Amino acid sequence: MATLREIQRRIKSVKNTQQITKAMKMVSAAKLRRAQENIVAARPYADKVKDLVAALEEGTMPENHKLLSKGSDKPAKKAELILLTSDRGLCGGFNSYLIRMVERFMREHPELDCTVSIVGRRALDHFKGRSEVTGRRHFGSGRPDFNLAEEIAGDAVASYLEDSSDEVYLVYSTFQSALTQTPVIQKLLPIIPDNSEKEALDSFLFEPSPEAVLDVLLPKYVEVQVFRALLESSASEHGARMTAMDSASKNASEMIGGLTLIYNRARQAAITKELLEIISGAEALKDS
Amino acid sequence: MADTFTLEIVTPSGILVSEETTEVTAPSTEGEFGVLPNHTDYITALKPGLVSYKKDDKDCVVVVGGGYAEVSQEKTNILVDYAKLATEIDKNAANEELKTAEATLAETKEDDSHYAKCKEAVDLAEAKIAGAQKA
Repeated sequence: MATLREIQRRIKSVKNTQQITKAMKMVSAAKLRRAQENIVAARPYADKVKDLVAALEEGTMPENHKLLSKGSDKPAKKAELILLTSDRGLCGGFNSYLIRMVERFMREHPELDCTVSIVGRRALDHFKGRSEVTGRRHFGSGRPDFNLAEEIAGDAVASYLEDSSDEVYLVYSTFQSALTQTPVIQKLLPIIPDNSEKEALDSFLFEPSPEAVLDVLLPKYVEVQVFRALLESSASEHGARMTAMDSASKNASEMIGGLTLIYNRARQAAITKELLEIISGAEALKDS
Repeated sequence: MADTFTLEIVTPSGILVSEETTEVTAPSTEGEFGVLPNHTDYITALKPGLVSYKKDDKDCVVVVGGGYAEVSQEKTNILVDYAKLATEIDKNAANEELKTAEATLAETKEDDSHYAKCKEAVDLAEAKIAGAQKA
């Protein structure tokens, strides 16, 4: 049986932890809101670029553009995976889901020679010392900016054009709600335009030429895809952390409840014991 | 015939400008071009520079980075990496930026893959300074 003081010390330490988890939950909630605002703000740009790429792909000869297809039907041999994770932990299974997904992808595609580019310190720690890792980058858990997306997309496009990769995939968490984030593998290159809703652009005049516009637009499209993934991943991270911290706070209050019960029981037992001692002492005196 | 049209300047971090206007000029890769109402449908790539438009007979200037413009009869969409109102530009910061951008450009060889990006950074810094002077 633990002594009263020991129990008291544990209660205090759990309370301290609970305070930290509560504070982290609040911070994550605020950051999540900001991340969601960023996603909404980026949407008009992403939608317009997407529409235009889809429309242009109709109007020009997509086979001619390297980013759309490499012009050969050979099966892909080399794949690059760009893994977006967080810099910090304490966000439940957020990072391990993504890492597991990458490893499963490698297992399921033994014919592919996979390399992994990493964003975020968590995955970097996991893949430390593994030969597959090529690019290494970090980003703060704060607000991802477009420059970072440009950089990642630029590297991916460069390695694709240099034939060091035949396919490029993005691995990240899509944000559905604060409670659910789904890890996905999305093909980044070669580009498969989304043809679901296209407007007719036949009447448009292109300057200098549709091909030249496409040349500018396709790298931009890749950048936008990466940027969106970064934003989603950041929102997912904060969402995951919020949920994790919420359940941690709940567990802490349960634990405090249990410990308080034990403490009170122990206190009561001690009091009863003391009373018994006093009474039996008094009785003994009376008899003599 | 409408005598105004909608101008939208959109960046990855949000919509910067959404106004009814009568006249817009923008820097395309082929040189500056102007848009009046009922312009023919037109798509072009943009280089860093100044977009100016008329709002209530006043000239407004926006500094933009690379991107493209989509012009139709009632609407002009300008999609760029970067956009800021010229009145909000800090001239000293822009001068600093130009210096660092030029230094990086000087170190980069012309056939380097980063060359285009460095050149664009210099152009953008120059556009910022020009914008700050106009504002």
